[in-house]
Amino acid sequence: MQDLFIAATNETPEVFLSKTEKRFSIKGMSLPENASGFYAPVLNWLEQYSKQPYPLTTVELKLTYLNTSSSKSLLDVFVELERIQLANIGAVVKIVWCYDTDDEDMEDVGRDFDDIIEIDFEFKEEEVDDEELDF
Amino acid sequence: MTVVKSPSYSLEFAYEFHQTMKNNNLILAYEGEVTQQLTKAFSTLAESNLEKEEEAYGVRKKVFHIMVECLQNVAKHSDDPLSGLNTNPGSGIFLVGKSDDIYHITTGNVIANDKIHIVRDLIEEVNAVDPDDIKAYYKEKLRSTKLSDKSGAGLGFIDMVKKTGSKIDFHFEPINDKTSFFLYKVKVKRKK
Repeated sequence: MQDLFIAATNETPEVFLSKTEKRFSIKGMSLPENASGFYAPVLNWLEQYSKQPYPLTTVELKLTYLNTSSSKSLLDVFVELERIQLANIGAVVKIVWCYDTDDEDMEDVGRDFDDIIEIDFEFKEEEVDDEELDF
Repeated sequence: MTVVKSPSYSLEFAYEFHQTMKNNNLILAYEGEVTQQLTKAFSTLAESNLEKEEEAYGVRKKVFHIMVECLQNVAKHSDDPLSGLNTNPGSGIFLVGKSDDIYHITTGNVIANDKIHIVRDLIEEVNAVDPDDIKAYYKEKLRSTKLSDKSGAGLGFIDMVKKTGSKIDFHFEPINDKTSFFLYKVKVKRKK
């Protein structure tokens, strides 16, 4: 299947979904007014991927900012990821939730998702150079 | 032909306005259409100003977050003052104030009177939640949003209260029998 790559903008994250490279990631800030439009191709891609997923799919999420509209869309993404596990016996999905050391709010966001989503979350704290803070 | 001239403001008024802003510790005041570009511009401007003033990272990020949410609420939810129908892009008023210990972010837009009870219920419900329970309350709301995508209403207000630890002040000022002006203020504490 075809890879899905969407370059980051100042209000939407970079999306990299590649079965050939075994790389699945969403990185950056997400604050579009209407997030469902932005995340629709991501959901479509995952739906296709769930027909023949790898035994282990590790999705890296490194979001520096999420507005409420994006949180709702991300829920849809997680539901689609849960479906990969449900529809394929033995298939495992893992989320790596990365956040800046000083960013308690983004850590909280990840913990909330972890509690309501039936997927394993790994939390990864990353040191960020203060000069590079860009949200 | 009758030309109706809309009144202009005097320079004295402009000075008074400047004084009023100063006296009320206002650092930003805007009235008009709210587009996504404007939202991004204001939030980024505030972010860099706060950074220059060496405001703590957590506080900067919260102010940025609340500004985006509030401005997007205006863009999405404001109604026409005469018809009460939703307008796109929306318009309204947006104020940011800064006192010694708090940033105040006030948002106002026209709302159809028949929607007031919905918004009032959402805010009163979240304001009534014990601060110790707000995280659990947010998570419950998120869970029900996951189960049915129609139930996400109010998530924005809950998120604001959860992130700021402050209740939302709100007011509805009647305009006519169809519409009112809806105002609410969110507080972000400085230096935790």
